[in-house]
Amino acid sequence: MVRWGMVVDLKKCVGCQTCTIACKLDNGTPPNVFWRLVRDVEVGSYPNVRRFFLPLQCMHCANPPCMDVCPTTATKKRDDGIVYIDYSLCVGCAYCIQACPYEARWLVKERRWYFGDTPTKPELLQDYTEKIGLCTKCDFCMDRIDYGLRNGKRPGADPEATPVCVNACIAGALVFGDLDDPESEASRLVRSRQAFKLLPEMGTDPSVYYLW
Amino acid sequence: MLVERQTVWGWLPFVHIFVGGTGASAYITMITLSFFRPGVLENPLLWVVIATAVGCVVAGLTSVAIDAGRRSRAPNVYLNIRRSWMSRVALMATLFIAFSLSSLVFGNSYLMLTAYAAALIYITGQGFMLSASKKIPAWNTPVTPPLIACSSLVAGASLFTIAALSLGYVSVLILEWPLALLHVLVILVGLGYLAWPGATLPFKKALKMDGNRVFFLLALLIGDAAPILLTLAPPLYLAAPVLGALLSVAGSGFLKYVLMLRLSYKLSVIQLPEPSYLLLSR
Repeated sequence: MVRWGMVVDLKKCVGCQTCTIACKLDNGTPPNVFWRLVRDVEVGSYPNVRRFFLPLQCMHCANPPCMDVCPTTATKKRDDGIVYIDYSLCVGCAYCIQACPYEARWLVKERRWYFGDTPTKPELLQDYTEKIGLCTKCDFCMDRIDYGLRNGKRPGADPEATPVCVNACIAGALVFGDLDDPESEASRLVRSRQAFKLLPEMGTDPSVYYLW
Repeated sequence: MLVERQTVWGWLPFVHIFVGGTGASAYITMITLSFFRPGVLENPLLWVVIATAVGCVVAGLTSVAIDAGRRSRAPNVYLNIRRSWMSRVALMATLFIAFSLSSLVFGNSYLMLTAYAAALIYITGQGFMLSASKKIPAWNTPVTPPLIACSSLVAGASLFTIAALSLGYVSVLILEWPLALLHVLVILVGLGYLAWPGATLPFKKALKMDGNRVFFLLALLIGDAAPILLTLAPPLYLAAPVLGALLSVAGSGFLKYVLMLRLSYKLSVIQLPEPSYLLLSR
């Protein structure tokens, strides 16, 4: 069985937000909506303080709490582990936002443009109209994955079949692949390095690993 | 660890939990009382209570419908009865409205009992709906459902008392002591919520921040302790029970306000596993 997942190397991430911008350009998300973003984090207390960058996005949990609470069944999980929203069913009640401990979901109340009342060219390229009033989130660029697989490409290895954020990362901090395949680069990294998941006590079993 | 309050659910979902829960509980009180005093199921009290209860539940549903992004798709909320408490609450509210109104038209006690069961599940489900919110530590506790349900029952019983007394049904004063016991139950559950042994650190922080613990205790004092004292006070004809009932409704609203709007801090995603600190200092 395939389980698509991502591995984030915190030692490589430089916090440039290129992945954030790539995601925004590809998905046309409006201002203040970030399907993924990189947080600037400080941990510890003086004198043992460290700063690092923490990329955050939908964790595509094996037990997604957002799916359980969704009253409309708009949130669905595919056999390959990708959690996505069927925007034709969502009512925008925001219950999934309250259930997701990773702040990965965004309610888009109204269409707004980045610069005043006129959309920029990149904003025009992506029609976001169908998502206004609904909850939205990262879907691991599943259209790219499906397209790639149909055309004999390998997600995680071939850029055409890989999420745009991974392709855009300048530091090679993001690795996408099949977590159930022991030969994949993602699985190998999880095995060989200190890997952890966010908020494991929530019992959600995320598909995004972080490496120290 | 706790950064900010959630902002996606504001006053409108609060209206649903408070007004809807109070209305449905007024109906629950009337039917429960009718098991001992069948005389309460007569007009005009029956009409007034059902109209008030249904009005409150409709107002609650309307408020959440206004809050939703795509109101035209509202029927979709019934699609996940199997797993979602929001679907269950919506279904129970609809069944309550349908069965209580039809019981009024047909005078059938089975319809009335079905509406009673729907109302009970509705007020309990509201608490479970909040407790399924993993992102809000103050809601995501096992004490939340009994707290919401007990608070709704007290407010509903008080609303029923006000309605009955205003229509001259002095016999409902037999509710005074059972209501006082219900107040004691709310206080116990409320204190259990504050002292819950399984409380996580973010939950404890939410209680500490912005004087929330004081606000919570104040709600219990206004809505539950004061009405108990009024029950013990020398009888002032109907002034004491009416004042007690008014305080109960206000206190229940305040308690739910504190829980839903003041304590609604979001869980921080950045809670790194303990060994990370050791690794970071290398």
